[in-house]
Amino acid sequence: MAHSTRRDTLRAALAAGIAGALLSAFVVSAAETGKVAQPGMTYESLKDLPDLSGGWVPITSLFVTSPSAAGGPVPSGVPSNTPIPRELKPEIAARVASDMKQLLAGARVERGYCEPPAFGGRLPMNAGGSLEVLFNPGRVTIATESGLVRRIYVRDTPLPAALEESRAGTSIGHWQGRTLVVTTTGLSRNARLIGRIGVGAGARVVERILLKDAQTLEIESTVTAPEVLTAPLKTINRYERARNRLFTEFDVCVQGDRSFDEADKAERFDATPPADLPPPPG
Amino acid sequence: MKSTHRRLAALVAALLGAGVQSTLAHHTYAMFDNSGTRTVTGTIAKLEWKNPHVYIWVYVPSTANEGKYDLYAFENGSPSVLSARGWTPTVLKAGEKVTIEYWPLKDGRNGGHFEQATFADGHILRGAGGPGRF
Repeated sequence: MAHSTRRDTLRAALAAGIAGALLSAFVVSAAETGKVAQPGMTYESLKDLPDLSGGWVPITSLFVTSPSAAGGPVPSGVPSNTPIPRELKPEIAARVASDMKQLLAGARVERGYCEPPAFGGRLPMNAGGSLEVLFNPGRVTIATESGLVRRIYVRDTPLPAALEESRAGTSIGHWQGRTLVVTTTGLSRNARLIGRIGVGAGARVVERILLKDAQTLEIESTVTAPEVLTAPLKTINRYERARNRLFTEFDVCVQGDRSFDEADKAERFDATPPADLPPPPG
Repeated sequence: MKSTHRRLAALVAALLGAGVQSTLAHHTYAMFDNSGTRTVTGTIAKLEWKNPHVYIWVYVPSTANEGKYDLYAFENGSPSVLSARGWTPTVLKAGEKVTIEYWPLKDGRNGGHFEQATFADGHILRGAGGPGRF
């Protein structure tokens, strides 16, 4: 009997020891990978995510010519009703106003048309603004027609190898019910927030991405940018579902653009006929 | 004047709307006469389906030289924007007869910013953007 009791004790101790070791390994593993209990972490569970995936076009006058399925009038493509957000620092607002005055007068200014796309806290809602949402286990990718690719990792902390600054920024997200909450840091300080104004160092963006209804995607963005804003800047972008959209590259790089004189940095209308223009009728 | 002021404010707002490249920020339409549109009827020569602007070339019977044609050039938005409005690379075919409404060039050359085309059967193809649409 005593022998049996000692054996049972040894077994229990061994089992406890193994369990403890396994638990420690899990805790270490979780801390290293930042894994959280979230949906869509496996291929099989991707189908349980809200139906955000696929093509979307901005609800603006450039893209949508009739009221969206969501009903009501098509809202303006402008995120805010005021031309210059009041959240801009006064000296920044003055620069924006000055830039716009020059542009409207057709001034010759460098507009950075050949810079690669970058995320300055708000996705474009005009030309090049159509986007595609893609799901992979533990990752949501947003790719815009203008060439910006944002990879959002579903985890608590950024990947250890994340860059200090990058054009897409470093995005992590988590699901709050049917809403994807995304936090982005590490934005390139030169990524345009508004006009020619860069978002500056130390900026942070929080987005709430959700289906407003089956055909409408909504992205609410709150940008905190201490170098250019006095207060967080909130924007709501809405998109109409376009499952069959044929995505077409959008590029305004002035190299070779007939509408821009690179030497003079001036807009122009190039009426030079193409070499393969057919002859007139008759 | 109030309407012009409103359109100008909207243009400024649209140009500021996003921090990344955009057709609106690419173009201010300053080279087009925004006081009103004109129309011409002619034959499509070619549709150039290119970034950042689609170009439409049209032969219009000359009013100065009977039996001859003037070549008109019209531009509009990017293929990515126009495809969302039903355009395709073959939506305007060479040889097709159309009436083009457009915002003329201030410098008097033949052409401008395409507003819309009306086909022989009456259906209309609309462009995007332009001096009059904000």
